Amino acid sequence: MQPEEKGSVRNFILLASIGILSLVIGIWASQKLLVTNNDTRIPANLDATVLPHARPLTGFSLLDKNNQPFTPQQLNGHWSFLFFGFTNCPDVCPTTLKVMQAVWATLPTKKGEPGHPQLYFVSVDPDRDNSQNLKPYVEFFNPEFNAVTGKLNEIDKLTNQIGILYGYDEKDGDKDKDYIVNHSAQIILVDPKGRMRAVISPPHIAKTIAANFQTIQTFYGD
Amino acid sequence: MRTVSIIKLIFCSVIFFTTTVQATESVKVTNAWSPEAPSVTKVMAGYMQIHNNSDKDIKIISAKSPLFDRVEIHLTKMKNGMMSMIKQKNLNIPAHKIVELKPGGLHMMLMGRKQEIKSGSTIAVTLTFDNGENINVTLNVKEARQEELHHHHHHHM
Repeated sequence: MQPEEKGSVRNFILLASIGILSLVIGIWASQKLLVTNNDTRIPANLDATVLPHARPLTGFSLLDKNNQPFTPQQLNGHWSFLFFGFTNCPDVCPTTLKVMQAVWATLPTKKGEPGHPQLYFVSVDPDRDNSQNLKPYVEFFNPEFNAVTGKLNEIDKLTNQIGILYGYDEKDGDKDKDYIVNHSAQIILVDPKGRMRAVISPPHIAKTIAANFQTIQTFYGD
Repeated sequence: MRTVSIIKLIFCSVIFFTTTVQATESVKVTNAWSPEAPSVTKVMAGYMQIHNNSDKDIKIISAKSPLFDRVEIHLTKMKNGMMSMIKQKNLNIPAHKIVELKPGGLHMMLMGRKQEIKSGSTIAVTLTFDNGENINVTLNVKEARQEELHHHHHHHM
């Protein structure tokens, strides 16, 4: 070969290598960076509203019924049902807990078994609720159920991410201890990676919730 | 003369009796119950059907129970995305209609429980109407069954 031709061949090989390398890097990058169809598929025909993109829950610090920390870490490793209320609630909260008690009765798994979910009743009324009364309250419905509360600003860190609203009716003079707390009644389903995955709006019917949960759990896996 | 006295006595007893039972000529209360609640809370709910068999609307203006400090009637309603409990100053029972107190809707809120109340026992409540009638209602305390616990929401956000 002539020296000039050797140079061209070298250039060609160089360009080709760069080209192939770019292609390989490009394919790798697209797999890593772009969301594929599989990530946004959701199961069909559910009453629950499933989020196409699971929303990671971060940065809150509360205490549970045993005064143990309840942080994003505690949501890892299992599906979780979360809902919000207060123990001085005569109608919505006990009724929802009774529905979840019925859901628990239909679960194919037992506590400690893989795939078994957990439930957290979040009290948005820390003035009157704490681990001392939350433990017997929630265990009345099922000894497995957990309840959490904490400082309002920590509660807000959780409710703001989820989109739960709550507020206090005006405290009424000497009937101060009887005030009502208004609160969103959605039940939130969190996946084993601690990400918000679905919203279950009222009316809460145990059979429907149980069936929706099975479908969602099967679809996304443990 | 004695017969007349006896008749008067019987007549008065009957009137007295009918104004204090769970029914009068105009109003009847059926299926009154309360779900057993955790003993750590002092508040319970009351559910029932109130029948107005008369030609006139009547209102419940107050309620009380010897087992509770206070009894109020509230309406559970979705407001601004939140479940709200709206206190009802008076509960209107329209003529020839039935008003139902049930989970997720209208309910009696029994506050300041004075003693332990377990399923199988009863709670006495007196309803006072704007026509001067008093009705004694007996709530049966039960373990709530799932079928009774549907939230009935007839409105959307």
